[in-house]
Amino acid sequence: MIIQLDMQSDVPIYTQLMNQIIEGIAGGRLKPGEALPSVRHLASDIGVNLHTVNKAYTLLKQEGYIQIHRQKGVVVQPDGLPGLTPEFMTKQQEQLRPIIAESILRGMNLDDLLHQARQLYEQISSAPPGKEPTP
Amino acid sequence: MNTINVALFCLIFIPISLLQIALPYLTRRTISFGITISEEVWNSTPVADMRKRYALLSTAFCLILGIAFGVAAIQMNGNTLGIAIAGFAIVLLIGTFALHLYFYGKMKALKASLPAAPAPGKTALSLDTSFRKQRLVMSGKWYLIHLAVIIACAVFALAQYDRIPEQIPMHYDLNGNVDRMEDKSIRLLLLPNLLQLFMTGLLLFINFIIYKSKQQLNPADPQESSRTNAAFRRRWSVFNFAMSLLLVMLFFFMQLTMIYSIDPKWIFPVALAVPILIIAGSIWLSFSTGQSGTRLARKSGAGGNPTAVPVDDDRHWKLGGSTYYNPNDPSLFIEKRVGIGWTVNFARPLAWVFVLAPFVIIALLLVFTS
Repeated sequence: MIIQLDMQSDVPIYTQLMNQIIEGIAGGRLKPGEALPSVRHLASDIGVNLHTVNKAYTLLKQEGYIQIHRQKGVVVQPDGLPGLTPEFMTKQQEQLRPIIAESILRGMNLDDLLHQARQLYEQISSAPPGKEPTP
Repeated sequence: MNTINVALFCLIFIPISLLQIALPYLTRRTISFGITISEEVWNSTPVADMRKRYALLSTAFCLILGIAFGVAAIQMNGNTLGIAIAGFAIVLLIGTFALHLYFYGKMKALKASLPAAPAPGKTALSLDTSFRKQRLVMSGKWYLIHLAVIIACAVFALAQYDRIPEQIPMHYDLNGNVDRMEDKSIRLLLLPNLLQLFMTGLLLFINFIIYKSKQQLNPADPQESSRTNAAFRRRWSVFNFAMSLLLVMLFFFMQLTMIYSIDPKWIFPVALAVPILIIAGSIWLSFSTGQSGTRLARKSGAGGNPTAVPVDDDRHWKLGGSTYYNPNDPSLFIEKRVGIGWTVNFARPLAWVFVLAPFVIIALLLVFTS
């Protein structure tokens, strides 16, 4: 998978890296069990500190999206992704609140917001070609 | 005598000049005279004109210098010729580097006058998570062939020790006459094997560098860029392997001249053929592949965004884009941005070890042989 990072963005590199990898798994561009680059190689390719990559990988591991083996290295979670846990629902609600609040302030109505969410959902989940986006 | 002088001179002159003149055409399409730009700017008229002007000026410079030295070389004898050729090569490199610096300044000014990135500040760094799953280089195991050959050479030479004459020819002049002899000894006889080991070790290490060096994709077309960059590494790795095998053979030939009294008229052609093959091969590879594989055919521009601006790391490239110094970058090996090949991140102490190690080993070899 091709990862695109914006080096001038306010979003920290480790967050961008996490988001890209999660999106890659969601879109099927990263398959379960697929190997990811080692911390050392990834840090060298981006040109950032080893800790930055380590942080992204550790957080992804905590959330259950990847596995880190001593020998096999870093792989996309092969044993099924964590699913909808109560903790995730709580976290998602917290993350959505400011986005919805801002939309209201900008004068966006609920339909537009839902339309926007649906479009993004389809964009991300329909990444592998030939797959019909579920309505 | 004179024809050999001129031939030797041309052998050095033509390849260096060709590579120096073609320099701006062989670089990545996101670098122009050591300055980071988008691929769109690389293709624009003012930048293309700069490449043309550099090529014209450096051609004129190389021709004038070449003719001057060529005339001088005809009158020289074998002893001074070596020094003269080295001096010539240095003047040529300094001259073209000065020209490069001039255009580096021009390019910097041009970049400052360009409008900022068309998309709102999008400077992209692209990387392929499966980059290192491609076959990037030949496995180091292939170099076991060299080791087997070297051992066979040494065993063969030792087995012949008794039938070797008491005096071993050590040096030949340009006409193929022996001009230095030394008393035979096991140390002297095995010297070529030591050189074989040194060369093989060095080239095996270069193979490792080719694998390790930083992944640098063109954000305008990351997918294709990943493919061509892998091909670039693979080609140089295969060339590296063939070159090291040729050098091992050359040193074996050198050992044979110690054991048997080989007709001197064969020595010069063989000793010249190997470097000619290597130089011709590297020039062909440079022109057909380009730095980072930029001259390889791309399959399609699908998904490409020619206006994508690569990350601007110009401030980490000192001396006109020739030297990389970035303490925040953990990578040790990186592709050159001026010229073909790889360089090191001088901000890493380990890089200095790698740069100085060959000199230390050569010094040790000299001590061993004296």
